[in-house]
Amino acid sequence: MMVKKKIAVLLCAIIAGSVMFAGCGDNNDNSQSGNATNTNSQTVTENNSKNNEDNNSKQDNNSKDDNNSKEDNNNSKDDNNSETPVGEKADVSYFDDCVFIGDSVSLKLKLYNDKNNAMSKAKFLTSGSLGYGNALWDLDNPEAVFPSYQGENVLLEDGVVLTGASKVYIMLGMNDIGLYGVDGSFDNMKTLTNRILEKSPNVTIYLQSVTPILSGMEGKTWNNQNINIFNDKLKAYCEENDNFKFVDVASVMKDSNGCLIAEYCSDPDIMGIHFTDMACKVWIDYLLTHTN
Amino acid sequence: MKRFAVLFLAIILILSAAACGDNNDNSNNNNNGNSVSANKNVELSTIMTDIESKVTLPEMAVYTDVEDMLDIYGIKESDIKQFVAQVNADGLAQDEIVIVEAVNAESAESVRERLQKRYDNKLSQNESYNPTQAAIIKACKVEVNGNFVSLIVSPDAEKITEIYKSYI
Repeated sequence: MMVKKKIAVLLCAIIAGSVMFAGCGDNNDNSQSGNATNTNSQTVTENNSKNNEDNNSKQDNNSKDDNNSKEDNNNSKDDNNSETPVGEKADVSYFDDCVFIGDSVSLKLKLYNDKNNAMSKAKFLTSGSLGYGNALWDLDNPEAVFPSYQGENVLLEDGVVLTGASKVYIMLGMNDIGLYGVDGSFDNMKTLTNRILEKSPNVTIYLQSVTPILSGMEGKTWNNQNINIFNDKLKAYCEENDNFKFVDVASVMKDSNGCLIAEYCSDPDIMGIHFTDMACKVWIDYLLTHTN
Repeated sequence: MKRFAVLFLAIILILSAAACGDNNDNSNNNNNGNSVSANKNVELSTIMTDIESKVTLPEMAVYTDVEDMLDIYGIKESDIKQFVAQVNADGLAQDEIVIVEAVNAESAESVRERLQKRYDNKLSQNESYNPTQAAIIKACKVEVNGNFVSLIVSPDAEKITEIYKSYI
């Protein structure tokens, strides 16, 4: 009986000691997940620069693209100084002092650049639903869709100053023609560009033509015919004004019927105006061959 | 003597049970300020890899340069301990995964403000021309968990958030 009692006491001591020294240590280990071996997240102490080499080789391959012959045909009659003539393909560093102002069509170009580093240090002031019209609103308008610069919404004229760009590429109008008509949209364009030049008098403004709508997606006033009329007005305005150049991006986006090339459209069932990666490559290539 | 031995063992048992209970509380208290920031083994890259393995994400633009955080979100480098940031590359769908571990609570609040502004902009831009995406955005939000701040916009936001929170 005495022996049994001693054994019982000893067992209790062993159990108590085990629980105290081993069980509590297991709880600490279970609170943490595995450590990362993947380098996808970036700590602030690491400085990762974008690699331009692959993109430069991609640009070289594009020079053999069939779209270049299309561009030559479209620009053979471009003798006036307002339209950027086709020339030797510039290096992608051309974009380093450019800012691209635009709506969701240009937003795709920005994201294409972010993913592929295809436009070097180009800056972007882009926002879905942006137009010449609502770009004139006050910043505190609750319905405004101003783009942001370093996280802060900015008026376009102020954004141009902040980017320090000397070349301002604008592609707006898609969100205007249906609302304001061709003439109203054109008047808004003049007002906006005047505001930009007031704050940045030494920039060159490149008015990019509004790109076409996919066949079957046009509306009553929001259609390719009105887009073409609007683009003609932009071109004429550039002919009459210093500081302006017309860049006919739309010319390389049209099929034989003047609609957006189907392969270039990423939203055939939604709006029929947004671009695929292929269209962005064509766009960039056009810009680099029409830099003068 | 026997009584003293039994009493001694009982005290040891009680103390060991109490000590283990304190350790459990500390390891599970992940949603209150300093306890999360003290967890130094959470690698956001691991979280992102896990998300990518379990959720079918669209093609995303991945931002790895801390300068991108300032350019896109206005989040200063000095506020960031580590980050992951990806945005849907097609320009139409509004998928976005941004997770930032801030250096301290004050920085976390600054990051939260910036991501909230980003969220508000996404919503206002899409409400007028893309109501489908606006609905997805409305179901998502900016969240703060200690020094971790996240903006997760996705049709699979719930699943992505669950994976993310399982680590913190």
